[in-house]
Amino acid sequence: MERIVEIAWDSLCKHGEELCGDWVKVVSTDENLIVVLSDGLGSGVKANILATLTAQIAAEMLQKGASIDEVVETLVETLPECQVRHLAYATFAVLRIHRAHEAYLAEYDCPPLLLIRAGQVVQPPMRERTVAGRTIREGQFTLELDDYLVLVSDGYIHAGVGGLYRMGWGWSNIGTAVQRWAATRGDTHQLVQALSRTCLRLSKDTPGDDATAVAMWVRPQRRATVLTGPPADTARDAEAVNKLMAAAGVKAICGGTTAQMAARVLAKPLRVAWQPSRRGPGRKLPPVGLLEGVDLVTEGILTLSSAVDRLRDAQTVHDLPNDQDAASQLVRVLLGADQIHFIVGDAINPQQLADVVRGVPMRQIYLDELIQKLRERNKTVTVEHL
Amino acid sequence: MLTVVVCVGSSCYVRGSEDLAATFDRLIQERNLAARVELTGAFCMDQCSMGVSVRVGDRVYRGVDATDPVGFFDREVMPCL
Repeated sequence: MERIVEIAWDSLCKHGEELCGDWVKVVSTDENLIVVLSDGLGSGVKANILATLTAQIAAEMLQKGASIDEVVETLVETLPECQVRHLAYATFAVLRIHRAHEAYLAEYDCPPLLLIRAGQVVQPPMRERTVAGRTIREGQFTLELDDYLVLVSDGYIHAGVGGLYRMGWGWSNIGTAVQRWAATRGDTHQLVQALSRTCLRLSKDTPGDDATAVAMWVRPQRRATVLTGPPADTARDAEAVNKLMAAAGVKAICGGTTAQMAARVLAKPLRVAWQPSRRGPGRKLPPVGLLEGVDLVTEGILTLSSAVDRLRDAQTVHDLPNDQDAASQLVRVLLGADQIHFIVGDAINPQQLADVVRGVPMRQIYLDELIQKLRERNKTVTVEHL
Repeated sequence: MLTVVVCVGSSCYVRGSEDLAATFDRLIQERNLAARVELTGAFCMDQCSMGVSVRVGDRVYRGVDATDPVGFFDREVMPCL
Protein backbone atom coordinates (compact mmCIF):
# COMPACT_ATOMS: atom_id res chain seq x y z
CA MET A 1 0.00 0.00 0.00
CA GLU A 2 1.35 3.35 -0.94
CA ARG A 3 2.07 5.89 1.75
CA ILE A 4 2.17 9.61 1.78
CA VAL A 5 3.41 12.19 4.27
CA GLU A 6 0.66 14.69 4.79
CA ILE A 7 1.93 18.05 6.00
CA ALA A 8 0.51 21.29 7.39
CA TRP A 9 1.99 24.21 9.30
CA ASP A 10 1.01 27.40 10.99
CA SER A 11 2.92 30.36 12.39
CA LEU A 12 1.98 32.83 15.06
CA CYS A 13 3.64 36.22 14.92
CA LYS A 14 5.14 37.75 18.02
CA HIS A 15 2.67 40.24 19.38
CA GLY A 16 3.26 43.65 17.90
CA GLU A 17 5.33 42.43 14.99
CA GLU A 18 4.13 42.47 11.42
CA LEU A 19 6.49 39.84 10.11
CA CYS A 20 7.10 36.45 11.56
CA GLY A 21 10.70 35.61 12.36
CA ASP A 22 10.10 31.90 11.71
CA TRP A 23 10.04 30.44 8.25
CA VAL A 24 8.96 27.10 6.84
CA LYS A 25 10.04 25.81 3.47
CA VAL A 26 8.63 22.60 2.06
CA VAL A 27 9.84 21.00 -1.15
CA SER A 28 8.03 18.00 -2.49
CA THR A 29 9.45 15.87 -5.29
CA ASP A 30 8.52 12.41 -6.52
CA GLU A 31 10.98 10.75 -4.20
CA ASN A 32 11.50 13.16 -1.36
CA LEU A 33 9.78 15.50 1.00
CA ILE A 34 12.13 18.16 2.37
CA VAL A 35 10.97 20.28 5.27
CA VAL A 36 12.98 23.11 6.76
CA LEU A 37 11.93 25.14 9.79
CA SER A 38 14.08 28.12 10.64
CA ASP A 39 13.88 30.53 13.55
CA GLY A 40 15.62 33.87 13.02
CA LEU A 41 17.37 35.59 15.90
CA GLY A 42 15.21 38.28 17.49
CA SER A 43 11.99 39.21 15.79
CA GLY A 44 10.59 41.38 13.04
CA VAL A 45 12.07 42.08 9.64
CA LYS A 46 15.62 41.01 10.46
CA ALA A 47 14.55 37.70 11.92
CA ASN A 48 12.25 37.10 8.98
CA ILE A 49 15.00 37.67 6.45
CA LEU A 50 17.44 35.46 8.35
CA ALA A 51 14.93 32.67 8.70
CA THR A 52 13.81 32.90 5.09
CA LEU A 53 17.37 32.84 3.80
CA THR A 54 18.27 29.90 5.96
CA ALA A 55 15.25 27.85 5.01
CA GLN A 56 15.51 28.69 1.32
CA ILE A 57 19.22 27.89 1.10
CA ALA A 58 18.88 24.66 3.03
CA ALA A 59 15.89 23.43 1.05
CA GLU A 60 17.30 24.24 -2.37
CA MET A 61 20.70 22.78 -1.65
CA LEU A 62 19.26 19.56 -0.29
CA GLN A 63 16.92 19.28 -3.21
CA LYS A 64 19.89 19.49 -5.54
CA GLY A 65 21.61 16.69 -3.67
CA ALA A 66 23.94 18.61 -1.40
CA SER A 67 24.96 17.00 1.88
CA ILE A 68 24.01 18.46 5.20
CA ASP A 69 27.67 19.34 5.73
CA GLU A 70 27.66 21.49 2.62
CA VAL A 71 24.43 23.12 3.74
CA VAL A 72 25.77 23.93 7.18
CA GLU A 73 29.02 25.24 5.76
CA THR A 74 27.16 27.50 3.39
CA LEU A 75 24.88 28.74 6.14
CA VAL A 76 27.80 29.35 8.46
CA GLU A 77 29.47 31.48 5.82
CA THR A 78 26.27 33.36 5.12
CA LEU A 79 25.02 33.70 8.65
CA PRO A 80 27.81 33.98 11.21
CA GLU A 81 27.37 33.59 14.92
CA CYS A 82 26.59 36.78 16.78
CA GLN A 83 29.79 38.03 18.45
CA VAL A 84 27.98 39.47 21.39
CA ARG A 85 25.49 36.78 22.20
CA HIS A 86 27.29 33.74 20.75
CA LEU A 87 24.05 32.54 19.39
CA ALA A 88 23.27 31.33 15.91
CA TYR A 89 21.66 33.96 13.77
CA ALA A 90 19.09 31.50 12.62
CA THR A 91 18.36 28.02 13.84
CA PHE A 92 17.10 25.28 11.61
CA ALA A 93 15.57 21.86 11.63
CA VAL A 94 15.83 19.90 8.40
CA LEU A 95 13.81 16.80 7.73
CA ARG A 96 14.19 14.84 4.52
CA ILE A 97 11.81 11.96 4.02
CA HIS A 98 12.47 9.50 1.24
CA ARG A 99 9.41 7.80 -0.24
CA ALA A 100 7.52 8.24 3.03
CA HIS A 101 9.82 5.59 4.54
CA GLU A 102 13.30 6.77 5.48
CA ALA A 103 13.79 9.97 7.38
CA TYR A 104 16.92 12.03 7.82
CA LEU A 105 16.85 14.71 10.47
CA ALA A 106 19.35 17.46 11.22
CA GLU A 107 18.80 19.98 14.00
CA TYR A 108 20.74 23.11 14.80
CA ASP A 109 19.88 24.91 18.02
CA CYS A 110 16.18 24.15 17.75
CA PRO A 111 13.72 22.09 19.79
CA PRO A 112 13.95 18.36 19.03
CA LEU A 113 11.48 16.65 16.75
CA LEU A 114 8.41 15.19 18.39
CA LEU A 115 7.64 11.73 17.05
CA ILE A 116 4.42 10.04 18.11
CA ARG A 117 4.38 6.35 17.26
CA ALA A 118 1.69 3.92 18.38
CA GLY A 119 0.43 6.49 20.82
CA GLN A 120 3.81 7.09 22.49
CA VAL A 121 6.27 9.95 22.32
CA VAL A 122 9.39 8.42 20.81
CA GLN A 123 12.88 9.92 20.60
CA PRO A 124 14.66 8.97 17.39
CA PRO A 125 18.34 8.17 18.06
CA MET A 126 20.40 11.29 17.39
CA ARG A 127 24.14 11.90 17.53
CA GLU A 128 26.02 15.13 17.79
CA ARG A 129 28.50 16.25 15.22
CA THR A 130 30.55 19.34 14.59
CA VAL A 131 30.41 20.92 11.18
CA ALA A 132 32.27 24.15 10.45
CA GLY A 133 32.54 24.85 14.14
CA ARG A 134 28.84 24.35 14.76
CA THR A 135 27.30 21.54 16.71
CA ILE A 136 24.46 19.85 14.96
CA ARG A 137 22.37 16.85 15.95
CA GLU A 138 21.66 14.24 13.30
CA GLY A 139 19.62 11.12 13.05
CA GLN A 140 18.23 8.62 10.60
CA PHE A 141 15.23 6.45 11.21
CA THR A 142 12.51 4.53 9.44
CA LEU A 143 8.96 5.80 9.46
CA GLU A 144 5.96 3.68 10.31
CA LEU A 145 2.39 4.03 9.17
CA ASP A 146 0.44 6.41 11.39
CA ASP A 147 3.53 8.19 12.72
CA TYR A 148 2.90 11.81 13.61
CA LEU A 149 5.93 14.11 13.42
CA VAL A 150 5.87 17.62 14.83
CA LEU A 151 8.52 20.31 14.61
CA VAL A 152 8.05 23.44 16.69
CA SER A 153 10.07 26.57 17.02
CA ASP A 154 11.23 27.98 20.34
CA GLY A 155 8.15 30.16 20.60
CA TYR A 156 6.10 27.06 21.34
CA ILE A 157 8.44 25.80 24.04
CA HIS A 158 8.23 29.09 25.91
CA ALA A 159 4.60 29.84 25.17
CA GLY A 160 2.87 31.50 28.08
CA VAL A 161 6.04 31.70 30.17
CA GLY A 162 5.27 33.06 33.63
CA GLY A 163 1.65 32.07 33.28
CA LEU A 164 -0.08 28.75 33.71
CA TYR A 165 3.16 26.94 32.94
CA ARG A 166 5.83 28.95 34.71
CA MET A 167 8.57 27.92 32.29
CA GLY A 168 6.29 28.01 29.28
CA TRP A 169 4.39 25.16 27.65
CA GLY A 170 7.52 23.04 27.41
CA TRP A 171 8.60 20.28 25.03
CA SER A 172 7.33 17.52 27.25
CA ASN A 173 3.87 19.01 27.66
CA ILE A 174 3.61 19.74 23.96
CA GLY A 175 4.53 16.11 23.38
CA THR A 176 1.73 14.99 25.65
CA ALA A 177 -0.71 17.28 23.88
CA VAL A 178 0.20 15.87 20.46
CA GLN A 179 0.12 12.34 21.84
CA ARG A 180 -3.41 12.83 23.15
CA TRP A 181 -4.46 14.51 19.98
CA ALA A 182 -3.02 11.78 17.76
CA ALA A 183 -5.47 9.34 19.26
CA THR A 184 -8.28 11.28 17.59
CA ARG A 185 -6.85 10.54 14.12
CA GLY A 186 -7.56 13.98 12.76
CA ASP A 187 -5.51 15.39 9.93
CA THR A 188 -2.43 17.60 10.15
CA HIS A 189 -4.39 20.73 9.30
CA GLN A 190 -6.57 20.19 12.35
CA LEU A 191 -3.53 19.33 14.48
CA VAL A 192 -1.68 22.57 13.77
CA GLN A 193 -4.85 24.58 14.26
CA ALA A 194 -5.31 22.91 17.65
CA LEU A 195 -1.68 23.57 18.62
CA SER A 196 -1.94 27.17 17.45
CA ARG A 197 -5.08 27.77 19.45
CA THR A 198 -3.55 26.39 22.60
CA CYS A 199 -0.36 28.38 22.12
CA LEU A 200 -2.39 31.53 21.66
CA ARG A 201 -4.47 30.85 24.71
CA LEU A 202 -1.40 30.18 26.86
CA SER A 203 0.10 33.43 25.64
CA LYS A 204 -3.14 35.21 26.49
CA ASP A 205 -3.44 36.14 22.80
CA THR A 206 -0.16 38.05 22.89
CA PRO A 207 2.61 35.65 21.83
CA GLY A 208 5.91 36.60 23.38
CA ASP A 209 7.84 35.13 20.47
CA ASP A 210 7.21 33.90 16.95
CA ALA A 211 5.80 30.41 17.26
CA THR A 212 5.57 27.86 14.47
CA ALA A 213 4.36 24.29 14.37
CA VAL A 214 4.85 21.91 11.46
CA ALA A 215 2.87 18.68 11.61
CA MET A 216 3.38 15.61 9.45
CA TRP A 217 1.45 12.38 9.32
CA VAL A 218 2.41 9.15 7.56
CA ARG A 219 -0.77 7.69 6.21
CA PRO A 220 -2.05 5.60 3.29
CA GLN A 221 -2.28 7.41 0.01
CA ARG A 222 -5.85 8.23 -0.99
CA ARG A 223 -6.93 7.88 -4.59
CA ALA A 224 -9.90 9.06 -6.57
CA THR A 225 -10.81 8.27 -10.15
CA VAL A 226 -13.27 10.38 -12.13
CA LEU A 227 -14.89 9.27 -15.36
CA THR A 228 -16.35 12.13 -17.34
CA GLY A 229 -17.73 12.03 -20.84
CA PRO A 230 -18.41 8.93 -22.97
CA PRO A 231 -15.50 7.80 -25.19
CA ALA A 232 -15.36 9.25 -28.69
CA ASP A 233 -15.68 5.72 -30.02
CA THR A 234 -18.70 3.97 -28.52
CA ALA A 235 -16.93 0.65 -28.97
CA ARG A 236 -14.73 1.71 -26.04
CA ASP A 237 -17.57 2.33 -23.61
CA ALA A 238 -16.96 -0.90 -21.73
CA GLU A 239 -13.23 -0.17 -21.60
CA ALA A 240 -13.83 3.23 -20.00
CA VAL A 241 -16.25 1.90 -17.40
CA ASN A 242 -14.07 -1.10 -16.56
CA LYS A 243 -11.09 1.16 -16.02
CA LEU A 244 -13.10 3.16 -13.53
CA MET A 245 -14.42 0.13 -11.68
CA ALA A 246 -10.98 -1.49 -11.51
CA ALA A 247 -9.44 1.60 -9.91
CA ALA A 248 -8.64 1.66 -6.21
CA GLY A 249 -10.13 4.32 -3.96
CA VAL A 250 -13.08 6.59 -4.57
CA LYS A 251 -14.87 6.30 -7.92
CA ALA A 252 -16.88 9.14 -9.40
CA ILE A 253 -18.76 9.78 -12.61
CA CYS A 254 -19.42 13.29 -13.88
CA GLY A 255 -22.02 13.46 -16.57
CA GLY A 256 -25.57 12.25 -17.09
CA THR A 257 -24.87 10.55 -20.38
CA THR A 258 -21.67 9.10 -18.97
CA ALA A 259 -23.60 7.73 -16.02
CA GLN A 260 -26.14 6.12 -18.28
CA MET A 261 -23.39 4.54 -20.32
CA ALA A 262 -21.89 3.13 -17.13
CA ALA A 263 -25.27 1.84 -16.02
CA ARG A 264 -25.64 0.08 -19.37
CA VAL A 265 -22.19 -1.51 -19.23
CA LEU A 266 -22.61 -2.59 -15.63
CA ALA A 267 -26.21 -3.70 -16.21
CA LYS A 268 -27.27 -1.86 -13.07
CA PRO A 269 -30.04 0.72 -12.69
CA LEU A 270 -29.16 4.39 -12.51
CA ARG A 271 -31.35 6.34 -10.15
CA VAL A 272 -31.53 10.04 -9.50
CA ALA A 273 -31.37 10.98 -5.82
CA TRP A 274 -33.83 13.76 -6.11
CA GLN A 275 -36.84 14.99 -4.21
CA PRO A 276 -38.82 17.58 -6.18
CA SER A 277 -40.23 18.98 -2.96
CA ARG A 278 -36.74 20.07 -1.90
CA ARG A 279 -36.67 23.77 -1.10
CA GLY A 280 -34.18 26.45 -0.29
CA PRO A 281 -30.53 26.90 -1.29
CA GLY A 282 -28.76 24.12 -3.11
CA ARG A 283 -31.41 23.85 -5.82
CA LYS A 284 -29.12 25.49 -8.33
CA LEU A 285 -27.46 22.29 -9.47
CA PRO A 286 -28.80 19.05 -10.88
CA PRO A 287 -29.10 16.31 -8.29
CA VAL A 288 -26.65 13.47 -7.78
CA GLY A 289 -27.29 10.02 -9.14
CA LEU A 290 -27.03 6.60 -7.56
CA LEU A 291 -25.29 3.71 -9.27
CA GLU A 292 -24.20 0.63 -7.40
CA GLY A 293 -20.41 0.40 -7.19
CA VAL A 294 -19.81 4.10 -7.91
CA ASP A 295 -19.29 6.41 -4.94
CA LEU A 296 -20.51 9.61 -6.58
CA VAL A 297 -22.53 10.28 -9.72
CA THR A 298 -23.19 13.84 -10.82
CA GLU A 299 -24.38 15.69 -13.87
CA GLY A 300 -21.58 16.94 -16.08
CA ILE A 301 -20.97 20.44 -17.28
CA LEU A 302 -22.92 22.49 -14.73
CA THR A 303 -21.47 20.52 -11.83
CA LEU A 304 -17.91 20.79 -13.15
CA SER A 305 -18.28 24.52 -13.59
CA SER A 306 -19.62 24.90 -10.07
CA ALA A 307 -16.87 22.67 -8.70
CA VAL A 308 -14.25 24.96 -10.22
CA ASP A 309 -15.89 27.90 -8.43
CA ARG A 310 -15.92 26.15 -5.11
CA LEU A 311 -12.33 25.12 -5.50
CA ARG A 312 -11.29 28.73 -6.01
CA ASP A 313 -12.11 29.51 -2.41
CA ALA A 314 -11.08 26.29 -0.74
CA GLN A 315 -7.55 25.17 0.01
CA THR A 316 -8.48 22.11 2.02
CA VAL A 317 -11.56 20.04 2.73
CA HIS A 318 -12.07 22.09 5.88
CA ASP A 319 -12.65 25.28 3.91
CA LEU A 320 -15.76 23.88 2.26
CA PRO A 321 -19.20 24.76 3.56
CA ASN A 322 -21.38 21.90 4.70
CA ASP A 323 -23.46 21.87 1.55
CA GLN A 324 -24.53 18.56 0.08
CA ASP A 325 -25.08 19.60 -3.52
CA ALA A 326 -23.37 17.74 -6.36
CA ALA A 327 -20.49 20.16 -6.79
CA SER A 328 -19.71 20.27 -3.07
CA GLN A 329 -19.68 16.49 -2.91
CA LEU A 330 -17.40 16.34 -5.93
CA VAL A 331 -14.97 18.87 -4.50
CA ARG A 332 -14.95 17.00 -1.20
CA VAL A 333 -13.95 13.83 -3.06
CA LEU A 334 -11.22 15.66 -4.98
CA LEU A 335 -9.76 17.52 -1.99
CA GLY A 336 -9.88 14.38 0.11
CA ALA A 337 -7.65 12.51 -2.30
CA ASP A 338 -3.88 12.70 -2.82
CA GLN A 339 -3.86 11.11 -6.25
CA ILE A 340 -6.59 11.80 -8.76
CA HIS A 341 -6.99 10.16 -12.14
CA PHE A 342 -9.36 11.56 -14.74
CA ILE A 343 -10.69 9.30 -17.49
CA VAL A 344 -12.01 11.78 -20.03
CA GLY A 345 -14.26 10.63 -22.82
CA ASP A 346 -14.02 12.87 -25.84
CA ALA A 347 -17.45 12.25 -27.28
CA ILE A 348 -19.26 15.43 -28.16
CA ASN A 349 -22.98 15.52 -27.63
CA PRO A 350 -24.30 16.19 -31.16
CA GLN A 351 -27.25 17.98 -29.67
CA GLN A 352 -24.98 20.45 -27.89
CA LEU A 353 -22.65 21.76 -30.55
CA ALA A 354 -22.63 25.13 -28.83
CA ASP A 355 -20.61 23.36 -26.17
CA VAL A 356 -17.49 23.50 -28.27
CA VAL A 357 -15.48 26.69 -28.02
CA ARG A 358 -12.78 27.08 -30.69
CA GLY A 359 -12.57 23.36 -31.09
CA VAL A 360 -12.35 22.58 -27.39
CA PRO A 361 -15.36 21.14 -25.59
CA MET A 362 -16.57 23.20 -22.61
CA ARG A 363 -16.09 20.16 -20.44
CA GLN A 364 -12.38 20.16 -21.24
CA ILE A 365 -12.06 23.86 -20.48
CA TYR A 366 -13.54 23.40 -17.02
CA LEU A 367 -11.53 20.24 -16.47
CA ASP A 368 -8.28 22.00 -17.31
CA GLU A 369 -8.96 24.68 -14.72
CA LEU A 370 -10.05 22.09 -12.17
CA ILE A 371 -6.87 20.08 -12.71
CA GLN A 372 -4.69 23.15 -12.42
CA LYS A 373 -6.26 24.09 -9.10
CA LEU A 374 -5.83 20.55 -7.80
CA ARG A 375 -2.15 20.56 -8.74
CA GLU A 376 -1.73 23.87 -6.95
CA ARG A 377 -2.97 22.11 -3.85
CA ASN A 378 -0.28 19.45 -4.26
CA LYS A 379 -2.50 16.73 -5.63
CA THR A 380 -0.98 14.32 -8.14
CA VAL A 381 -3.32 14.47 -11.11
CA THR A 382 -3.19 12.22 -14.16
CA VAL A 383 -5.46 12.32 -17.19
CA GLU A 384 -6.23 9.88 -19.94
CA HIS A 385 -8.46 10.48 -22.92
CA LEU A 386 -10.65 7.97 -24.65
CA MET B 1 -48.97 3.18 -11.30
CA LEU B 2 -48.19 5.79 -13.92
CA THR B 3 -44.54 6.79 -14.05
CA VAL B 4 -43.64 10.30 -15.08
CA VAL B 5 -39.93 10.82 -15.72
CA VAL B 6 -38.40 14.27 -16.03
CA CYS B 7 -34.90 14.67 -17.43
CA VAL B 8 -32.46 16.56 -15.17
CA GLY B 9 -29.44 16.33 -17.44
CA SER B 10 -27.43 19.43 -18.29
CA SER B 11 -29.53 20.89 -21.12
CA CYS B 12 -32.92 20.13 -19.68
CA TYR B 13 -31.87 21.36 -16.28
CA VAL B 14 -30.82 24.68 -17.72
CA ARG B 15 -34.18 24.93 -19.47
CA GLY B 16 -35.98 24.63 -16.16
CA SER B 17 -36.76 20.93 -15.88
CA GLU B 18 -36.32 20.91 -12.11
CA ASP B 19 -38.91 23.65 -11.63
CA LEU B 20 -41.19 21.82 -14.04
CA ALA B 21 -40.84 18.70 -11.95
CA ALA B 22 -41.45 20.66 -8.77
CA THR B 23 -44.75 21.90 -10.21
CA PHE B 24 -45.73 18.34 -11.21
CA ASP B 25 -45.00 17.27 -7.67
CA ARG B 26 -47.15 20.07 -6.28
CA LEU B 27 -50.03 19.12 -8.58
CA ILE B 28 -49.74 15.49 -7.59
CA GLN B 29 -49.97 16.45 -3.92
CA GLU B 30 -52.80 18.95 -4.45
CA ARG B 31 -54.88 16.57 -6.52
CA ASN B 32 -54.20 13.61 -4.28
CA LEU B 33 -52.59 11.55 -7.00
CA ALA B 34 -49.58 10.28 -5.04
CA ALA B 35 -50.87 6.71 -5.01
CA ARG B 36 -51.33 6.68 -8.79
CA VAL B 37 -48.46 8.75 -10.17
CA GLU B 38 -44.79 8.18 -9.49
CA LEU B 39 -42.54 11.10 -10.33
CA THR B 40 -38.84 10.44 -10.86
CA GLY B 41 -35.84 12.07 -12.46
CA ALA B 42 -33.43 10.72 -15.05
CA PHE B 43 -30.24 11.83 -16.68
CA CYS B 44 -30.29 12.60 -20.37
CA MET B 45 -32.82 11.23 -22.72
CA ASP B 46 -30.76 12.26 -25.74
CA GLN B 47 -33.06 14.98 -26.98
CA CYS B 48 -31.03 17.86 -25.66
CA SER B 49 -31.48 20.52 -28.30
CA MET B 50 -35.23 20.45 -28.35
CA GLY B 51 -36.28 21.49 -24.88
CA VAL B 52 -37.14 19.57 -21.77
CA SER B 53 -37.72 15.83 -22.14
CA VAL B 54 -40.50 14.18 -20.18
CA ARG B 55 -41.66 10.59 -20.32
CA VAL B 56 -45.23 9.79 -19.30
CA GLY B 57 -45.75 6.06 -19.06
CA ASP B 58 -44.34 4.70 -22.33
CA ARG B 59 -44.52 7.92 -24.26
CA VAL B 60 -41.59 10.30 -24.57
CA TYR B 61 -42.24 14.00 -25.10
CA ARG B 62 -39.48 16.21 -26.44
CA GLY B 63 -39.42 19.97 -26.45
CA VAL B 64 -41.75 20.32 -23.50
CA ASP B 65 -42.37 23.97 -22.69
CA ALA B 66 -41.14 24.37 -19.13
CA THR B 67 -43.04 27.65 -18.75
CA ASP B 68 -46.38 25.83 -18.79
CA PRO B 69 -46.09 22.79 -16.52
CA VAL B 70 -49.72 22.86 -15.47
CA GLY B 71 -50.87 22.85 -19.09
CA PHE B 72 -48.67 19.86 -19.90
CA PHE B 73 -49.82 18.01 -16.82
CA ASP B 74 -53.49 18.56 -17.64
CA ARG B 75 -53.11 17.67 -21.29
CA GLU B 76 -50.79 14.70 -21.11
CA VAL B 77 -50.78 13.22 -17.62
CA MET B 78 -54.34 13.57 -16.39
CA PRO B 79 -55.93 11.68 -19.35
CA CYS B 80 -53.73 8.68 -18.57
CA LEU B 81 -55.17 8.26 -15.13
